[in-house]
Amino acid sequence: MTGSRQVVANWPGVTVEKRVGTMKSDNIVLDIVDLPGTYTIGSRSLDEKIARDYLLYDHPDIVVVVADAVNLERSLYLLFQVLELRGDVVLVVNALDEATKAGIDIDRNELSKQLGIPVVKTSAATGDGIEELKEMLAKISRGSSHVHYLFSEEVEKKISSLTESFMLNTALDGFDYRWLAIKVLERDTSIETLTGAKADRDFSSELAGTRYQYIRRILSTSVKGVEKRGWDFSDAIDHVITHRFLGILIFLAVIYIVFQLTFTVSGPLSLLIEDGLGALGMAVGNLISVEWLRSLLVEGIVGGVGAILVFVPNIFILFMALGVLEETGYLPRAAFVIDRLMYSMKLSGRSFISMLLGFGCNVSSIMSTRAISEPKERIVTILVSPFISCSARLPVFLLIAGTFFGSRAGMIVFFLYLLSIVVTVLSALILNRLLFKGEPSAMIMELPRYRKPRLKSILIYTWNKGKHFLEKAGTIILAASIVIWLLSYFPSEGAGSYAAMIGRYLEPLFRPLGFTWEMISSLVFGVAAKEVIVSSLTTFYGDYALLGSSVEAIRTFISPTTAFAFLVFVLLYVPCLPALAVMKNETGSYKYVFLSVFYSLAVAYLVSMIAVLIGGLL
Amino acid sequence: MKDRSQSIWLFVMGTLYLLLAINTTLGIFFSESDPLIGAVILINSLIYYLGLLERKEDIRKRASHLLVGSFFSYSISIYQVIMIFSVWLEGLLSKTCFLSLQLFNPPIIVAGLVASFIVDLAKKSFE
Repeated sequence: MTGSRQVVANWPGVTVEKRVGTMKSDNIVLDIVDLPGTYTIGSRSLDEKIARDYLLYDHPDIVVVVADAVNLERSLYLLFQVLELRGDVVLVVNALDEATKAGIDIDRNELSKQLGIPVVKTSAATGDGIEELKEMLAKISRGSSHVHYLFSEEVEKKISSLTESFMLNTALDGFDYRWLAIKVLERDTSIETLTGAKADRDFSSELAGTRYQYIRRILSTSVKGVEKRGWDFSDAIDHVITHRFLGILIFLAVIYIVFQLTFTVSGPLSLLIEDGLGALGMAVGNLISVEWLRSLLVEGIVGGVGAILVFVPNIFILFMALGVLEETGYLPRAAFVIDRLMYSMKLSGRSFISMLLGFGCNVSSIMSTRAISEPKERIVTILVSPFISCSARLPVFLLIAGTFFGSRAGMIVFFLYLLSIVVTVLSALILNRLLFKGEPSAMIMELPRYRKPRLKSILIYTWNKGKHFLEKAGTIILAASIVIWLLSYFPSEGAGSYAAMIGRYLEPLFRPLGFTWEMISSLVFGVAAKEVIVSSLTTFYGDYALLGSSVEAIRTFISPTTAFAFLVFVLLYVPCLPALAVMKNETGSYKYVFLSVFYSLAVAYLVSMIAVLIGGLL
Repeated sequence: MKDRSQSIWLFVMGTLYLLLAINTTLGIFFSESDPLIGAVILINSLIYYLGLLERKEDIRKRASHLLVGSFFSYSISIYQVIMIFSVWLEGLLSKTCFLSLQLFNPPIIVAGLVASFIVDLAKKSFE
């Protein structure tokens, strides 16, 4: 509607913030606010709370509830909760194309008549109905049509008595008293705090039952074709894909193939970029005669940033593959399969979903924990999410694994990803048992229908995810490359540089792991952004010009065992600075930031040491 | 597809992919030794075999295993083709030929072709 692109996925917690865009229709400009996707407007999790607080306190002119045409019953439950709160609501029945395919026929006029609000049928996939919705939003005038249905006599009496007491409370002016009363009866803690009232028992299920009765009555006259269609195509695939044992094995197989593809398909493209950058470096080198400036441009900037740009194809292909899995509807199934496994380890699938997002970026992973309603579980997930191998670490893996392990590089990268999952789950177990002793929250998850992936959606998904990598290359990594060059060039190049001093100062600590000062310094700089490790390594080892390329120098000075231990250390050590900043924001405390830093350093050191010991035995 | 032919296909494909898994793991017949891809193919074989463990009355459940298993087999052969294409392209750019018959792993590609027909057959069970 606004022309902007947001990530739309079929699980809660993907949009965890309000997103604002502007829509122009004729002469009217409307601010469109996209609230986090939710099934209710309770206050159990942070994303529900964000949505509800916006409706309560920001007083939007119109609320558009987007319902799924195929699962209208569940979507109408959310609509009714909004209608209990306020009027001025438009119902959008989306995914019309899929409903038509499934033989579902929705009588829009009847539905609108029964609900007393405007209804628009749309299909985001085909664009049908979007223009009509825009026109409707531009024309609609404020009205008021709260939903009116009667609960049981006992509940209605309690609502009346609570409503009367709220009327006397001036602090509640401007709120809908009936809605407040209903929330008190549902034992909504934030409303209990606001009103100071408390119900003698929880009426949630009774209230929900009445709402569903009302919804079914409406649907019986306005929707046809929702009867169970038996064992269909989607059920058939789910039967195998979500199988208790096979599901996990299939997930592992799929992820392995994704990494192999990432490694192999990007090979020719990376080669082209590498050749291009080599030619650029040579051209710049030939043009400039001033030694330090030539070194800054060729080794510092072209070498440093170029070392990262070589891996752009890998990153984009990885996201493209993940985009295909998401578009087809496989990823939510993977979360469902893992949920069963994680629940037995006192974690829920919601935690897994946050962790899954961590494969892209740990920052978004930490932010997505807002969908976790249980505070202790949320803290544990925030603390362990940085162990999930984000895309920033991939260039380091590819450089080192490609240099040392040749055709087995894909296997090594897959192993590192598996290790990241294992360490994440084990850490969650340890933190749960030792520090928090919490119970996991239940996860209600909608499994979307399978569909053929659309190229346009995949390309948008890939671009949205991958562009951050390019942005970082042009900003943080460019700046870091210049700083690294300065530190490696002054006061004298190579072993006499400031970078070498930093590395040598810390060298005794890393001696048991066999790390050189170049590796240690790059780990230090890598805290800013993990990709910087690649540019640091190529800059530091680029100084050994006699050995040819920096890759040749790396191969000469580092043994395969040390290289593998280094990969493990990079995988597990301190989260990057942006991730630490978000961690502080989300937990509201430096305590957890320090815990994360020290815990991850300890784990990284320990697991790397194990890798060195095993490598020594082989 | 009839119950009997479903069971036969599940058994045939399960066994075929079990043999392919062994072949790919050990690199015996026109294949490079690749234990992890061998494991992926073994999982594919398990999808078929577990279909045989479904109750005979649950025809749809058995058909589900055949559908997913054959789609998985087909996907593996597509993956193999993409890999070969990438290796060829990389060789072309670096003016070195990395291709070999072992790298092609023809048994996987041929079995994938067979699987593509079974996907169509299995799909019909749900239409």
